[in-house]
Amino acid sequence: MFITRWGGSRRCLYASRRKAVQTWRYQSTTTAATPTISPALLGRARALAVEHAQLSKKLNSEYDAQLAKKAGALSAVAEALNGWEAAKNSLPELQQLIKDPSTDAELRSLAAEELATMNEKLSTLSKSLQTSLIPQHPFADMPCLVEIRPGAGGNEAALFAGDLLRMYRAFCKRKGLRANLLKLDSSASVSSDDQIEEAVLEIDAAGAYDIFKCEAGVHRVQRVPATENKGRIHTSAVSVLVLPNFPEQGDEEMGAANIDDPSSDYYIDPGDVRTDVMRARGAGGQHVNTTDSAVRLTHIPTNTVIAIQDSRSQPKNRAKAWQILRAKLAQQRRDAREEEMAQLRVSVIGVARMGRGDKVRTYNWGQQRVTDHRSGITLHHLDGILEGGESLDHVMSSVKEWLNTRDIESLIADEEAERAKSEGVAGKTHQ
Amino acid sequence: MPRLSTSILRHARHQHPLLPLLLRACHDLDSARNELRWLRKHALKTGDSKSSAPTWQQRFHRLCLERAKGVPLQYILGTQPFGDLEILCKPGVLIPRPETESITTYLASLISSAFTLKLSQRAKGIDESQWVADQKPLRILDLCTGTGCIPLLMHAILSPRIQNLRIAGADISPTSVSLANENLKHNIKGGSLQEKANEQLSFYHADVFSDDHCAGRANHTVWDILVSNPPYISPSAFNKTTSRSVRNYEPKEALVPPQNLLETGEESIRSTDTGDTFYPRLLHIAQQVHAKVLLMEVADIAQATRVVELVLGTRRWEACQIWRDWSGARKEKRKRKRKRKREVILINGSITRVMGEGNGRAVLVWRDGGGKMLGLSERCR
Repeated sequence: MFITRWGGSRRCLYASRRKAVQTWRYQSTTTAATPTISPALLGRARALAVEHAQLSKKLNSEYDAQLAKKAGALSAVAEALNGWEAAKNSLPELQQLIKDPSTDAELRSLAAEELATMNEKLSTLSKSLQTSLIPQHPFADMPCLVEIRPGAGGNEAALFAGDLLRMYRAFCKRKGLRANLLKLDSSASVSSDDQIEEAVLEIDAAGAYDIFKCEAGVHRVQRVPATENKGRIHTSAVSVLVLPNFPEQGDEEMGAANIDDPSSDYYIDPGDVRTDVMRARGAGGQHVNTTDSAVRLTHIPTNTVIAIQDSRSQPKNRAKAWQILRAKLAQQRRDAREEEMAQLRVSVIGVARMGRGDKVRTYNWGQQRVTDHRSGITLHHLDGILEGGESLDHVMSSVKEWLNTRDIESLIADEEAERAKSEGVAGKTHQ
Repeated sequence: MPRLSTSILRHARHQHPLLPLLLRACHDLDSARNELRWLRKHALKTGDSKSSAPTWQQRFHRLCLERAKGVPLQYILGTQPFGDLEILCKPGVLIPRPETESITTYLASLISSAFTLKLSQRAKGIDESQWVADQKPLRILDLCTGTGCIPLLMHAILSPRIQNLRIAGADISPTSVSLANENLKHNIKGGSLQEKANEQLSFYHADVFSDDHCAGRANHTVWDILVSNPPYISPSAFNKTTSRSVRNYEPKEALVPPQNLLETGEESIRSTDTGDTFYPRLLHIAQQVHAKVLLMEVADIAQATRVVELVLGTRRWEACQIWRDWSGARKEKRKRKRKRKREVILINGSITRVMGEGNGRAVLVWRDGGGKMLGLSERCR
């Protein structure tokens, strides 16, 4: 009996020792894998958290909708930072506990377990801290317009544009997003809806811009087209544009998106827009019963032309044309600004911006394959994707992740550039 | 009518075999393509489940043939958009015109914004909804209403702001009156008109020229605003300037004033151009019903000038304006200002303002606070 007890405790001792060794090794690997946050980002997060604290203090004494909104946006950063710091601070304590030879075995094993979970937690926390730091895209909350336009490839490109339009409509249907075809110009043969010259799909759901943001770019198709009789594989391209959709009347809540406010970034001076509508030839009025309801808007400074003739009602065509014009100009202005930022960034770490003209995805019929060139994901479930199914979700979420990491990279670059600048200034003043 | 070139016909046939048919009616490829699309949609929509019924392609072909003969597209499709409304169209009733849509929208927007201004200037301490409910009813009468498009659109635009509305439309043709009532129901059902339009809107059968026509309806009530799109085309212009489709398929009585009135009618009618028959009568009725605002559609700037002369002759109106086709579009206002200053014309020694762009389309006159009702204050000088 004595022997068995002795043996049992010895085994116990061995076991605990082995476990301790295991955890040590485990911990060493995780420390290497823990995504460390760049000091630049951490500095920014701390600054934002301080700002949030000040704002909430101000809000406690006096309520202001604008301030509340700002504080709400910052609270995510503050929360993430709090969680991260709490986790970070508990790490040394645990490590101390494990290192300490006076700690008894049971406590040590508990501490080791705690340390492992804490490490895991820390890695998710730092990820969420990073994502919370990414400044929200100004259009992220908005509904959007998706413009599909065939590029090189003639009829085949027009056919594929039709495929893409069907794909997005099916996607919206599955997700319960209200999609509404704003404009559809079928090419030559009017009889078929398959060939598209230009289509604009309105997705009327808050946050739709954020969902579809990752779809903008050139989509390439490789297949034997229906129009080909020798069985050769063609490569054609269709460009997809994602534009923010502004509400009809800008309300005050929208801030930057208030299009009726001349000081807004996205304001369009009506004087800059030339409207060409049907002018009845001759007398007009009771003399003719015209059905011509086409409206063409030309924004003179940028030479952007929007022509709409879908509806039989001229006022409706006019409203649609304005909607698309506003969306296009807003996107143009935003793009110009981003380009500026990217130029600054290239000088720091060489993060170039992905242009609209870049190929983003390839659909290959022969291999039943879809490859996204940004995230590098390849799926062999072409049909499912073209039906707007869950495979499309996979592709889109992988792109979104890729966009996030890029955003973080550029954030770090910005932060470093800022710091370099301020240090340079400080150095100069010191001299 | 210019002949269609063979190249454009060939081009059209290449695009769609039925497109050349529509070119006969449209004369330009873009609108022919649009019409082809709308007709196709219509053919697909109006399917019959019976096996003996023609397929949609057959129906589509027949519709295109009809259109090639010049039947107005609105009669074939059965509808015409008018503002946010969908107006049913039937042979025998004039199709609503985009110019009428434009001036009606403009008038309604003037009334609506003037009302909002008045609301904002109300005495302090009065509740907004209480103030709105306390307002006297705004009464609008439309003569020669046709499909009822003007009263219906006025109600659609005004009723969200103005609670207390009484709108009526009158027409000499029983077909028109029943179609107008149909349109009322159709648009309430479609959701573009509020439910209360049933009580606030009415259409009745009346002859503008008979003295007892409006007994108990128009003569004996007071109407604040009188609107009319009367027949205004002279017989000679009907033969020369109207399009084939209008001449052959739309009711002539809605376009050309009746000629027999010339022999039996009043002095003032006999002396004017044959297209102007209705205007003296409209001014007379406006007098009878104590209208403060009168809006009359006209054919062109020359007719507008003649109508303004008539108005000045009565010496009962405070001021008048001539509206061109596209008077309302707020978006273009700035551009217009930049391009030229106020346009005015001198008629019988008084200056009349001309608004908007396009052909002369309407004459607006007002008195006794009618200008305030529209947010307009200038006077004839």
